[in-house]
Amino acid sequence: MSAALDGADWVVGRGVEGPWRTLTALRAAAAAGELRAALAWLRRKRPAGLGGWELERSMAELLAAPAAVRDPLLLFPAFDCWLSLTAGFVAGARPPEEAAVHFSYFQSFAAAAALLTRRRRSLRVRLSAEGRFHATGTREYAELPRAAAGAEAECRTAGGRLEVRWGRAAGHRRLLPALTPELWVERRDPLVLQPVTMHGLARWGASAEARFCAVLAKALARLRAVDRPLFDELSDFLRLIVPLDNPKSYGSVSSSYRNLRGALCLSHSDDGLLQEETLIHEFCHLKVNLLFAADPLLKPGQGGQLLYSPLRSDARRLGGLLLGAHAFINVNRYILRVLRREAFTARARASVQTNVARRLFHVDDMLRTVSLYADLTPVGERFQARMWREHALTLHDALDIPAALMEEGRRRWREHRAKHALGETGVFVGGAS
Amino acid sequence: MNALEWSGLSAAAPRWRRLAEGLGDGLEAVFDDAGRAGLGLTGGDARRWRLWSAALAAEGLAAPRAPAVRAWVFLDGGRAREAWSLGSGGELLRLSPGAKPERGRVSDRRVGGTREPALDALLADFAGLHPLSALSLCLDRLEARLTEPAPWPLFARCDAAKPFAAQGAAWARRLGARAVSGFALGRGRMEIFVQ
Repeated sequence: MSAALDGADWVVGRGVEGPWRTLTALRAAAAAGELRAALAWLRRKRPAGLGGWELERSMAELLAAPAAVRDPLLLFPAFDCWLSLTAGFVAGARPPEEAAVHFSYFQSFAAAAALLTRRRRSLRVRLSAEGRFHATGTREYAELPRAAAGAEAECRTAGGRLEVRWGRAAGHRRLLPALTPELWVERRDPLVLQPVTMHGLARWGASAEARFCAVLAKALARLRAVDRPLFDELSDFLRLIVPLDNPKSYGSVSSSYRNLRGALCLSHSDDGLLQEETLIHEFCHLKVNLLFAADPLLKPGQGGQLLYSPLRSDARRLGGLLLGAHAFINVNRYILRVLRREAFTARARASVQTNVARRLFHVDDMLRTVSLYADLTPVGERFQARMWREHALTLHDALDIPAALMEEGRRRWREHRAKHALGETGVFVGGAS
Repeated sequence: MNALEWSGLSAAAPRWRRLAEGLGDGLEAVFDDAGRAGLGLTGGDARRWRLWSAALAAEGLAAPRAPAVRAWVFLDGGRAREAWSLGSGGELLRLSPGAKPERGRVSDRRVGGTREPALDALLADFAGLHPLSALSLCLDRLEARLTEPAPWPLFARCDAAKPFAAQGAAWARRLGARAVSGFALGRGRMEIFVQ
């Protein structure tokens, strides 16, 4: 795969044809392989407590579903996470007594597959700790009485409809809020939320959720208008937004997880441009991680945590600087285009330009350090060379920024550098954390 | 400027400064991750080894009679605390004040052949960046020599240099762009050889 990869075409948005499709297909094939391994393990080991669940049938049906149904499910963020935990059971690294609960949750994906193929199916399922059942991979979930928390229930699908029953109680059908037809907001499904540990989850009522969705929907609409190829990639890859709490009222809190690919965690802001910036930033990290699956960009063995980052006050690694430079090249590029296209008040424009000015020097610094210290693979070399080219183009786009604001950006960068970097080197002055 | 001058030893080690002045070329600096510095001698004629042995003897370290292929000494406060000597037949000698010399025979290893998977992986990754000309094991000490010495900044970025990362800036100041020609791992310590 590395031989066919360019790397340069991964730096800014290029749309979803060519290498994007190839890597997506590889991911789906890898996920299918892992599911087959899980099925084989289940047939061999038959963990206690799963008799009567027909899990083997559920897995076989998902694998046999048409590609248009199967592949999006295999690539769904929660499935990514479920598979990453399953690998532990298959390898014998997780306690077998946990297998019953873990594998029983596969029925959420089975319900989704049955719904999407309009198949008639009756499934034994396990409800979440809040008494819900999620057809994970679709917008649908059912709410049952709180007393049903963690209990077994029955799920029926027919003709694309979902019914969940716990004894006599019927579940109320609900839908995840949709920002676009394929990008939804999720804050309840445990299969999605379990790896989200870096930040707290938002605990909202309906009106707060509606406000979050409205700002993001508008942000995505502008992203589509300003950078269609990047929007197409983002829409193809991202399936879920998980709302985060922002207790210290930072401008924005965001995160993404390697075992939850296709999900992005984000706090609310009424500032649409800030949300766009955060979406692009986090998506760029996910995009490079997608590329890492095919090529490491950096030759292995260069994890020394001793480098200066203009974004941080602690030592960083080469990989982190590569990701940071890439994300901000795309953010700067986007924001400069928005500034060109749209009207802002003088004050708002100056504020945005001030941020961009500082980020331009940050990108320059990070790219320089990567160039000085990194040994890259051939794909990585092309990736880096294109990053320099795109950064140079943003410098040209930034000629509109008043000289005084550029100087202020330079001054703040130099001040930070003087405090945290060793002379003009890329070494952090304080040592590894 | 010879290794002794830039290694920072000269002020604390007048005996070794005089030795270095007498030896001239062929010296490299040696450091361990605890900050101990020392001198290394590579190759040379009988006269150089006599001077070296005499310096060790003055510190109470019994040097071998035959000239060594390589030798190095760690100094603490100007005094020799530990010395090593590699003979032409592959015998390694470890010398400590007041203790009998430890002897061992060096055995060559290949990358991937240490029988410790994590160490094999570390060395394989390192060799992908900086090819190794030799890897050997003796007296619980694994020594690697680089085919081409690596400038310190490029050595420091490697996973293998992790023991030095906690004082990354200090080592960067001390070594600048000087080149690392080899390193050794053993007994919970890492040593580097710097030209």
